[in-house]
Amino acid sequence: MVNRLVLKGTNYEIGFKHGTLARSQIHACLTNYATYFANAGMSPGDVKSLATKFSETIKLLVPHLHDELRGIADGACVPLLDIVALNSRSEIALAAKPKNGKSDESSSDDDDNIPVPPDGCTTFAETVDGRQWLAQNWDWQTSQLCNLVLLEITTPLDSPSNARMLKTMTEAGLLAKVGFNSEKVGVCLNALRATDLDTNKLPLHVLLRLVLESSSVADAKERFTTKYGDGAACFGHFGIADGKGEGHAESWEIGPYGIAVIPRDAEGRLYHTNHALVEGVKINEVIWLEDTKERLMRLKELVFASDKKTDVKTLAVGPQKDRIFSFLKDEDNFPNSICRANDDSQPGLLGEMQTVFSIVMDLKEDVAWVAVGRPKQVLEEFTLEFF
Amino acid sequence: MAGAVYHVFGRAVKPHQLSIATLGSTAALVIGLNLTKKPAEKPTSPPINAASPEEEDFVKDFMKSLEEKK
Repeated sequence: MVNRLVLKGTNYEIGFKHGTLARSQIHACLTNYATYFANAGMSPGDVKSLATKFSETIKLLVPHLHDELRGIADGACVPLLDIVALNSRSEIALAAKPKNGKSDESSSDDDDNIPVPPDGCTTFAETVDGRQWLAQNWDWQTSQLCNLVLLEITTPLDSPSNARMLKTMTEAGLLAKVGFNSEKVGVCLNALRATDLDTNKLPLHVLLRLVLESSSVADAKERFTTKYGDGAACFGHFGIADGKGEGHAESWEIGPYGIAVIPRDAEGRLYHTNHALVEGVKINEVIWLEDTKERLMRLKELVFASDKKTDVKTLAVGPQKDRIFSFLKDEDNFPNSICRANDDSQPGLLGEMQTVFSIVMDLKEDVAWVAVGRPKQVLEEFTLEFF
Repeated sequence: MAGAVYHVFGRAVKPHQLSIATLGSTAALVIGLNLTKKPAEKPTSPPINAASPEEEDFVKDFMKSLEEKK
């Protein structure tokens, strides 16, 4: 069963409880990411150097979350920089250019020497008659399946997050990942890969937590641009939505340059996988998996096919939730499908990636459904709601 | 029956003398190793980085509450 942690108090107290109650999972995460970083060509010294810089940036821009990281470290009985490294794992592994290895810029899709796999996620959002839906398959290393945690946090009254409740599915030791809050704001993450890195900006997983501390998409954008460094340390995609009023959703391709926003299409939908859709952004993107484009096309095909069979406006909540899950269960182009499975033909870590969990959020009602494991072979299912 | 005789450094040595010498050497080695061995180190963990007395009190209280639940 997923380790469910109900956390409240000061940020240090929230962190200390998290670190204590998920200690063995955090130690396992550190072991897995030590292997992952080494495969990415990052020495322990490289990792410590980057973590030191990110620790300073987090302390400067969001001191309340630095307190929480300190609490996690104390609770887990590990050095603070280890926890900072976990929360900067996207930046360290996917964006950093190791001094003694070749640059990512020289990699290509068919390069056998790419040592580590990237995330391979699929995000979908849809606004139907004022009801805002946001959904995602989170694909990652199979070894992290047992290190999943569900954080249910009530943020402190005297912090910038202002006593909000949030629920997020993440890896043990991380501040947040995919989830939603009591203000009907939800967020999903798709990894994008580029060589650009700015250690003066915040890591993606810290920013995901800050989205979940916001009261709306507009509030998140305002906070990001005025308080939190206007952009991210490395390149990534946030599918961000809120269920207030008629509903609102945006795709953010965020990076050191700032935020490029993709609005909903004419049907009120957003689709995203693991490559940039905004043209003209100054970023050194590396496309590593052809299936990112295939998954995007396939998702659109599935939605268009569904439109021909069903008028989505007539669907009740249950059938609509099942309809979106049916997209996430798709196995076209298996194993590199929307519902991803381990690829035995790939060596080492490259072949050990699968859909780790799926989530469908109805942000108008502030409820979410989670399927742990591949949605075609669910290991555990639960519903999340606030009231 | 006459026992075998071993030659060590040009001297004749009887089997029981060789056994006593071997056992004695082994005992001396083991005792020597134990005497020179460093005392067992206590397991270490990073220090608690509590930034205030309130945080320290919280840590103590929380750990105590977990102990009571066991």
